[in-house]
Amino acid sequence: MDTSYKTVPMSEDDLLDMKVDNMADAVRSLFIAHLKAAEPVKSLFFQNVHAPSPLPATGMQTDREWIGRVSVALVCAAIGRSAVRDFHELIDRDKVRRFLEAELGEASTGMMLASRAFGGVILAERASSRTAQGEGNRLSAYLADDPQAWGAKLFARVTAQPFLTMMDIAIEVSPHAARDRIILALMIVGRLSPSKYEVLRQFFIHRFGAVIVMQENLIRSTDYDETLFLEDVATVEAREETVSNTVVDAQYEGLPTWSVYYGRGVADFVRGPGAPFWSGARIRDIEVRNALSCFIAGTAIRLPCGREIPIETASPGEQVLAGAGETGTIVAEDIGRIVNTDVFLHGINDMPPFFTSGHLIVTTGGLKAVNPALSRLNNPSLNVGKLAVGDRIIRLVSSDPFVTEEVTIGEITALPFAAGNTVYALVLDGPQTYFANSILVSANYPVITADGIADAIECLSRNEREHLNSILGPVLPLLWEALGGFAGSRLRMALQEDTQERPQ
Amino acid sequence: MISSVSIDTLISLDDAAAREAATRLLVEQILAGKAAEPLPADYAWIRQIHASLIDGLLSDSALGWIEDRDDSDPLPSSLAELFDPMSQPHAEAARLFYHQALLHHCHDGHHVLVDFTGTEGRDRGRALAAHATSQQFVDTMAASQNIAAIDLLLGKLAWLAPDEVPDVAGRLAEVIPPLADIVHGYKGGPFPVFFRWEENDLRSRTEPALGLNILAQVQAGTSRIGNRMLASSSEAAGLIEWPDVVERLTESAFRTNLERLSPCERRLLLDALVASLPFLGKAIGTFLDEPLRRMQAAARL
Repeated sequence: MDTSYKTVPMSEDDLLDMKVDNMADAVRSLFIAHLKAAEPVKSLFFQNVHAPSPLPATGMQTDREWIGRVSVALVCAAIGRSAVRDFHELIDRDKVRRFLEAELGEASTGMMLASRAFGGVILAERASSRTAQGEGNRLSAYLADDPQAWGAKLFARVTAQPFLTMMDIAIEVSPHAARDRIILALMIVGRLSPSKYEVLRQFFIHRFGAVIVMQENLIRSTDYDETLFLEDVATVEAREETVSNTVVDAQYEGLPTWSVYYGRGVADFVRGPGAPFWSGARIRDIEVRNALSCFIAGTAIRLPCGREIPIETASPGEQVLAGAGETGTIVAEDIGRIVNTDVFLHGINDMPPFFTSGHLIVTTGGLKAVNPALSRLNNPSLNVGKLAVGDRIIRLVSSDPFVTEEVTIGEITALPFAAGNTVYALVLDGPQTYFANSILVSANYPVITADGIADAIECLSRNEREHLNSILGPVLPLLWEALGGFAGSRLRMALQEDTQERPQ
Repeated sequence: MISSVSIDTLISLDDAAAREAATRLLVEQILAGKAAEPLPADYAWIRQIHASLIDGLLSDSALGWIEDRDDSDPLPSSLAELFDPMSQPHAEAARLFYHQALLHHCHDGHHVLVDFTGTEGRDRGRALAAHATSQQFVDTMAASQNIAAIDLLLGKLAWLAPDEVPDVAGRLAEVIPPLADIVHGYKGGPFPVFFRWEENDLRSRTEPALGLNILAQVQAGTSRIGNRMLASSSEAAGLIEWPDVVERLTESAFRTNLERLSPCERRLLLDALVASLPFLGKAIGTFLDEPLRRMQAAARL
């Protein structure tokens, strides 16, 4: 059929010389492709995966319902193993384990059918009798010719005495090689003439013993555990969606303008297709935030010379006037952020609204924000209180000489601000305060230190640390490059430790 | 088995999955660094692609792989040269992979081409050939100049009735000049095909896995791969400038450091960092979420 082979006459002997490279790996890939394409899991976890081609009608068929159930179980196993937030608590891992042990065990009918069907496909695609001299045929040539007839001929050949005697001797000399040859002959007959498969299998069991023939299964249960779909599941669990809240507290007592949902659909999946493995726990994973700590365009930033500039025109390297008359330097960060859903801007007393709920305002009682929880989302180590009527803020009276005054908050106003608009915040070196519309405010950029990260990693559960290490472990040499001199020895140890040996 | 000749069904079988399967098989072999079916086992083209990709990744790497040629290792060919559509090894491999993939991956969602082969296959192939040489079909092809459809048509015929391929190819070549060129220069095999792989597509499918493999080797202590060795393990190690200790990590400093990584390395690292945000967020807050996702999107372009 093609120039890469010197074809030899097609024959039963040629069929018996067929070999296939990496069969188990190829069957595994095909099985996984079908698991991902199963109806209950594809739309949520494997949207972008290519659907596998249908199995040929002339080959052996699988139990599609069984594949779907196994797929659901493997996804649930991954959810149960995942450390992303608390999703793992939704799964009863013992139930999943018992199910997989049974369904992926040697006695499983579904597993046997899948192994035969997928093995048949891989055989048909890859088996050939090619010799080192480049002579031979592909099994596909027999399938394109008259497979039933070739199946019948091969069946007769392998049930005749010469082949049986040869195999008897081979079993004595090299049982593994003999077993592989018997199983391959069985599979080729089954692929060419599926109706003869079971007859031949029973014949071989009778003739050679179950130990030789029963190891035909190409799907090994050890290849399919809770880590198989872990990455896919974690990706969905970490996906965030924002949904506007329909009720907003008139007093702005911290109720956010939208909710952020993580892994929407995972909980529904567990209570739907995954119900057999549901632990009964309810999802607690709805987090709320309104995380931008910024100002609107046009907010006036005071420079040390006394001049004011709109915040959106601030440039890296430029100096700004800080509290106590000091100066801070703008560093080269992106200062603009696009609001991805409707938010509220706030003003104080008679000032038009210009800052978001999470931005830090300097008061005589320390740093405060309209919504301190949102400020802490930006900067977890922050000590911040709630800004309220009666608090005293700092207003710049003059930059030269440097004079400020305390102003008592009589009113905090609010104005809706639509999604899609841009807000701005400065990132500074040196003092972290600056004057915005003459009010002393503080940058809310997290002070990220290596020790801080190491501390936080140590506070993670073992499950979370394992998950984190499984993600970052393979790319650690790149991480060290990207972190440069920031990656001190303690952080390196925290990310390289053997989490298995670590006590809880 | 499909019991009756259903020429409409046969015509409707699509080769998108076959093209994808042919590409996946090539990717699999490139990653393994060795040829297997349907190529000859010693096919040098696969090994050259593997070596070229690895060398490219090492030469771009921020980890510092310096060239240290061993005369026994030939220099890898350039990928552009290897994937030149006119290159004979490329054309040969594409033809073999596409042909083999077609039998089991040419389908309409229900029926697969292999179901149309067997004892009735030749009759079906002749019916398909008659359809393909009908004036109506030839006129349609002349108007559309759809060379991808030619691959599919001749590919089906090559499995069902290979002796019909020359006549059908000849008839269609009369109205499709590119086919005339390829038929004229055609040296053998079941049928001429236009199907080829794109260098960029193959790189994006193979480089992440090869990059991770290189990193795994580095972490296992390997300091030499192919014709290159890690600068830090060589005599030049004394010339390496180690970064100053930095107390505080900022987005801009991180972005600057990131620029030192190769495109593949940036993609690997940012994919991992974004995947780890649910955990890292507990340490560094959410301020870097958006910049990291934006950097990841840029790295994937």
